Amino acid sequence: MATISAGQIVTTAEQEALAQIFRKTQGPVTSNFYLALSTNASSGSFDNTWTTMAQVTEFSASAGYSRQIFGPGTPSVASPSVISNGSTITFGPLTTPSGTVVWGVGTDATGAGSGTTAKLMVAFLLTSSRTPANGDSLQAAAAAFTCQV
Amino acid sequence: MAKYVYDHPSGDGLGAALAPDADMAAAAQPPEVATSMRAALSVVNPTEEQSANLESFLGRTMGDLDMPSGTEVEQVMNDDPEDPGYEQPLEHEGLYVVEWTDGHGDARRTSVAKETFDQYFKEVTA
Repeated sequence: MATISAGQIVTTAEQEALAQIFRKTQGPVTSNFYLALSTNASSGSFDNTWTTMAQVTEFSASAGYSRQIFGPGTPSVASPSVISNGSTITFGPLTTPSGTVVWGVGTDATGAGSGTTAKLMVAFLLTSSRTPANGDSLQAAAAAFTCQV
Repeated sequence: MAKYVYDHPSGDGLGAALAPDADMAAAAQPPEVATSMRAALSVVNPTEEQSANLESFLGRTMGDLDMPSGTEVEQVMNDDPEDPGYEQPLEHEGLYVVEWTDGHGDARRTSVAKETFDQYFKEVTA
């Protein structure tokens, strides 16, 4: 999978982050954070005001595709601080994949890593989109997906 | 989580079995990604170990990333107490989801059609 550009936190997740920083709301319990793949077009298609996976065109295959656990590392001691996937992430092996992967999409744990009710949190635009072939796996190295406040 | 072993009668990997036309010798990373990753590493004056690790990563094939026959998996259960499917086998678009560790030590989650699961995945009994 291509080197990933820095993730953009969607609006509702930005609001959530700010509310926690300023101690306005209680943060959610620690849980898995999932990475999905999307075939939405690179421009004019993915809206940062979206709130759930119901609004995203998720990548699909007849078998093999599943959202992966993002496994974030520790936010860096820097300004701006950066967080990224701590280990390699691999999707597949894919059977009869459909479409071109343009985005990586970070979601919360609603639905246990499946379904349309998962809350949309971060959108990662791939530097180079990928159209997987039948039987392919899609792999990204550790720290490929980065996000900063 | 219940444990199973992927057991193909001909020893085929899961991806190879379900996609017999697949090119499993194909590089897992496209050339442009390899070029980009080598360039990014070169600017930080990498150690020999770091360079070797990158080349090992870039040298992986689709076959290396396949689920080999004999792989032990765990069927993922729905762990969202707010979800109607809580504590039932997790389904993604009608497919089961299994967790496993590939040959490189990386954690994986793969969806499997129920017919495929019944055919090739044998429950591990204690």
